[in-house]
Amino acid sequence: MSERYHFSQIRVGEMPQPTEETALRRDIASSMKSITEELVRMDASTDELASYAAELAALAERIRQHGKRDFPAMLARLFQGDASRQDLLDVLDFEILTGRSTPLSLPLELWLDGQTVRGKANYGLPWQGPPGRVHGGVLALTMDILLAKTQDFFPNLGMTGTLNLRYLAATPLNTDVTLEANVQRIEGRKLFCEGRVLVGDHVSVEATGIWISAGGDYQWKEEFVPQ
Amino acid sequence: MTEKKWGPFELLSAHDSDVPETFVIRRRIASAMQQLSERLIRVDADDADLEQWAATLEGLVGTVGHPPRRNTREANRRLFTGQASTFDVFDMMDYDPVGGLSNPIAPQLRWLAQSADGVEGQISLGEHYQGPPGRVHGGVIAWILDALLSRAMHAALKIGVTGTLNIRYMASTPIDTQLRCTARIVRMEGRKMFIEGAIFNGDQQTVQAEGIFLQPDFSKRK
Repeated sequence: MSERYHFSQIRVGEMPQPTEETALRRDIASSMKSITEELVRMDASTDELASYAAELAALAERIRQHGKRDFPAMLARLFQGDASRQDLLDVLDFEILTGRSTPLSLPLELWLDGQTVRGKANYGLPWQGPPGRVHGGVLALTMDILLAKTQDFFPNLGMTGTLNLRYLAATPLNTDVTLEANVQRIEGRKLFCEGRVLVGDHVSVEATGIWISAGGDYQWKEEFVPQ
Repeated sequence: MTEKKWGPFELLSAHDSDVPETFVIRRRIASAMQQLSERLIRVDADDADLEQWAATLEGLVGTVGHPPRRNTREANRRLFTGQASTFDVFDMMDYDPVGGLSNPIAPQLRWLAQSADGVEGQISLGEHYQGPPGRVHGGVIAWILDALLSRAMHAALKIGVTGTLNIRYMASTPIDTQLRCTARIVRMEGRKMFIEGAIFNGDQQTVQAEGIFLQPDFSKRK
């Protein structure tokens, strides 16, 4: 295969066609998520629970025999524009808490819409804080992931510098909520961004953040330069 | 023999009592799920292995099915009337999305000290909580800090919800390393509780957080 990918070609919500291997990894992740969703406060006998525990522990043991692919090497190829389709899938699909092959993933989807990052989420019992509500920390995690995606408008890659959160109302469990984030401005190596969680029409959480570029000043990608 | 019943201020001590057998097993399940979540990330495997693992898990999804859930609101009501069973308490505490030993997604924060003067905990985070190579994801840190600050509130026997949470990332936080987490209430102002928290790698502080938590407004209730 001759197709080669560079980091700057990555767009949120635009994945290359999955390989057969990646399709299998996604099946695995999706089963893991279904099991997690059912486990919390499930009514089951100790015998049933013990058999689940044994089966999962045996599987974990089998998988432990396998090594892992070299993530830093994969990233290096991606930054040199020499990544294969599988490299790109291995990076994006295993993105922490959001990738489709990541077994421990937040129940959310994100995409770009013009100059805005949009998303939707629906949290089940594993993510519960007070009864019937999403855990405040899980919402903080969500906002970090959402705001970090504003970096897709730039070729740079950075890290969270500060994250300020305001909780305005309860975010209900098992309810569709919408997410949106925007860039406020860029200043050298700093990216100022803001975002919110909406339940229907009202905002339940709002956040502002500053991301710091790991390499050079933030520059808009050509297609996203504000008018 | 009458089973011991617990009230809201006994939550932490009740959770320290003998672990009911069902939760011993539930914790084993969660621990296996955590190991799987960590090991499956970019695991080097051929399609035949992946197919086999996928089939095993699909089979388990089928076996588990959609079992009925126990009602949290009911358990909560029992707790506030001093009528919660040990089982109810474990149902609440063990599935906490931070530190909950029976919750497969929860970062496994362990509490070392909890009092009105503050709380201290310890955590080591694996690759399933990684952001940049070798470092803990910034969002995961925010997730833990919210729980850390609210635990300082609970340890001081106060209740409330997060109003604001401001986090400053000062240095990178490494994965697979024992980290120390601390939080304490610094002052109170009417319904507002000002709480500070921090994460340390050895002697180096990597994150600082300040939160304002709000106590319920009892004047609005009839």
